[in-house]
Amino acid sequence: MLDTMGVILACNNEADLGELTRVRAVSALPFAGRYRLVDFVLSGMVNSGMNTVGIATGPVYQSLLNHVGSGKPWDLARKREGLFVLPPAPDAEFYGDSRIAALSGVLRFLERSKERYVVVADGNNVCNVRFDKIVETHKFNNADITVVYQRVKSKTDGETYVETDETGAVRDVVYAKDRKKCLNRLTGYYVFTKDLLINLLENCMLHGKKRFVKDIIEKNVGKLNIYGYCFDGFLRTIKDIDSYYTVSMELFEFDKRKDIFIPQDKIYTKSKDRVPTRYLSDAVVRSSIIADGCVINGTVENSIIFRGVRVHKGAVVKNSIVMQDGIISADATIGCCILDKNCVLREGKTLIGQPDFPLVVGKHRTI
Amino acid sequence: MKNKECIAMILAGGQGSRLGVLTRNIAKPAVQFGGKYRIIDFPLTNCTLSGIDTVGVLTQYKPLELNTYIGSGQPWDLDRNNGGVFLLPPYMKEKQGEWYKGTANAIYQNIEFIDKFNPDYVLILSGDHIYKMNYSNMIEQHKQTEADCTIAMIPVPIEEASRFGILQTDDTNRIVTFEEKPAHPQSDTASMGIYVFTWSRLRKELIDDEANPSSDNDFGKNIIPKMLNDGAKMYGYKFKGYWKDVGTVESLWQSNMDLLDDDSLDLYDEDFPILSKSPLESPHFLDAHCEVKNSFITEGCYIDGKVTHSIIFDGVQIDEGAEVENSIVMSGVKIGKGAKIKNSILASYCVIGERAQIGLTDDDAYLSKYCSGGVTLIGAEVKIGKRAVIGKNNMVTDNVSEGK
Repeated sequence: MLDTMGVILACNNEADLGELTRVRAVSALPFAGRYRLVDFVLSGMVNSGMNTVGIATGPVYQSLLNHVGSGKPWDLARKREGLFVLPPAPDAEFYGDSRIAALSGVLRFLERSKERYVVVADGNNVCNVRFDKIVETHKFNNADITVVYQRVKSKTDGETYVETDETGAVRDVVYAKDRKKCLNRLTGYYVFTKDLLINLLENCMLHGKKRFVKDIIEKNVGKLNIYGYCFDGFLRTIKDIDSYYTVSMELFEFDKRKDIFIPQDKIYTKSKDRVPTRYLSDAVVRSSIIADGCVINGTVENSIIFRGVRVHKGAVVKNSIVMQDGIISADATIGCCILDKNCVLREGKTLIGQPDFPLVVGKHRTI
Repeated sequence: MKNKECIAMILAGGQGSRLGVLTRNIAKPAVQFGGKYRIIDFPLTNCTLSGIDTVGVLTQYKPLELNTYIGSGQPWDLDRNNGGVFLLPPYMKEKQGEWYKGTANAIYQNIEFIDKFNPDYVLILSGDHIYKMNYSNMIEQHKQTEADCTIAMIPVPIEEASRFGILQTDDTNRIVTFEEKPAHPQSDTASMGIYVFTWSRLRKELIDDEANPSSDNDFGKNIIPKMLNDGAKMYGYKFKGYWKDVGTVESLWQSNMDLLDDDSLDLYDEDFPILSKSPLESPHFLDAHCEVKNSFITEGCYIDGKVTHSIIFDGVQIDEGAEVENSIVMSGVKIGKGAKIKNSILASYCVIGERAQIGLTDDDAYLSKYCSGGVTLIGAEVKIGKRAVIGKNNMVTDNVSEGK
């Protein structure tokens, strides 16, 4: 994979998680107890053997930058190549928090790199993907562009689908509102032949085009060799509170968890050197994912507990997500909640959401 | 090379033979401890957090795993441009090479290494003690007293005193007597095996000691008694806090259990965290049938059984109906359904078959002189068959077939 580089789109695009993404890019969203969403795609690229990875950010990237740092946890702090964080170009404001805006800051980086192919990947997917297999297919098809899709059971608003022929070539781009039946959902992973991507991007910027799928993919169907690649592993896109909560809860299913946390292709993340989690004498814990550095002395069920969380005696946490360093005081109760980092629930307080409407509490809030 | 005020030398070459099968393939400092650490993490972390950025680690016995673990020293912030961590095995010289004959000889053979940094002081540490200590206070005392040597000391139970170097000090903490492992100890103040030496003085002592053919080339037996005899300025440095020499299977087990029972070794102190190489696993998953109390559990585990008062390392799998009590379960161990484990140490990657029983009965098929106090030890990668029964104080080094 020395001939392929990666570009991660860490812009928010259309994703919006309210309180949770007010302060951070969606790709910097904490997930599964110790990760950030960007870890999945970044690890996928590294596991595929890529040496050059750029992260094209949106306008809010402090939290993301803080997380990826020099790229050390992904072995990308290199003398040659490695990790590059690429904020949007100064005139990118026009394009908003979109893929094209994020990519505008990447042009020079693409030109400078010596690789022939480039994987362009959204930063908000949860999945353990080997891009080398996709690039292999791209080469085999002699494609200009390969779009990665997954088969879904039904259409969802806001999603885009592709129709392919028997050779795998893309014949049409279908939107959720179209009547046409098509269940090949675009995942936000693309392979381009690099020089072509540079041309297409320059063209978009010249003509003020801002829509990645419409102006780069759809416009060229029939003109360029665009192929589809069907990814059949576990892949979920996080774009709103609902998907964040639902996908988090899916992690309790063994098969899905197994599909993401594959022993030989690890998901890497920044390590905090936290102590093991300590369970005290009144702990009752069932079906939960719990990170290191916690002290648990209450009841935890069907929940995801991030690093350094305290659950005191008599506290009950059910169907909830408690991010880093949260404190659930004695006899407090939460159900169907998402607590951002450093939240404190005081003694005896109760906070209950619903499975289809989880309650979100912003960073550093005390209740 | 830029001068360093103080560099540390960690003695990590010992076999630790009293740990039995735990050190069959690894050196004692590489033995796992406390859920996600190894013993060597403690002195290395102490160095980093005391501002010592140049550390030599003297290795000799089976160093592969220790070398791999320490690597560039990055987990302890010891990958430095100027200084850092250095692995120092014995090596060939022009005429001949030789093994490290004793603790003092190990330092003697690395005089050139130390001279490169031209330090004022050298801190000598053991790679096999569990404690948290800021060495800078001790070095400060060493400077203020203008001592030739400062020895960290701690009170120990008098009945155990004959295992240690025992010293007596006057009211200025100046050392009056020192006896290595005395049969009849005169005090309960023990040397912790942590020494600060003024390098110019130690350098001379090491050369003299090497020239003496009857010497064992050992700090406790030779260098320190001789310096004291010669009237050198030697002071004790009082240490308060948790300190344990985890030399035996039972003391290793006890020291781990101490983590669960008292807070004298506070791993949660954010100003003094123990740094280590993270196993990089996903958070652990506690499934529907599990019951976990008074225990440590870390990354990558899957638990569906009952865990009481135990320390579970990374990547451990404990299936439904299995019960683990008062035990230490090291990395990657798998415990089958309905197995029962009590007062045991299961070394990394061993596999316990369904309904096997370990450490509950008085079966004596694998009784071992290394195991005492009712602690049972299963060696790394050993497979225990289904329904097999292993009694208390047993040590298993090879696979055990299925029981009835």
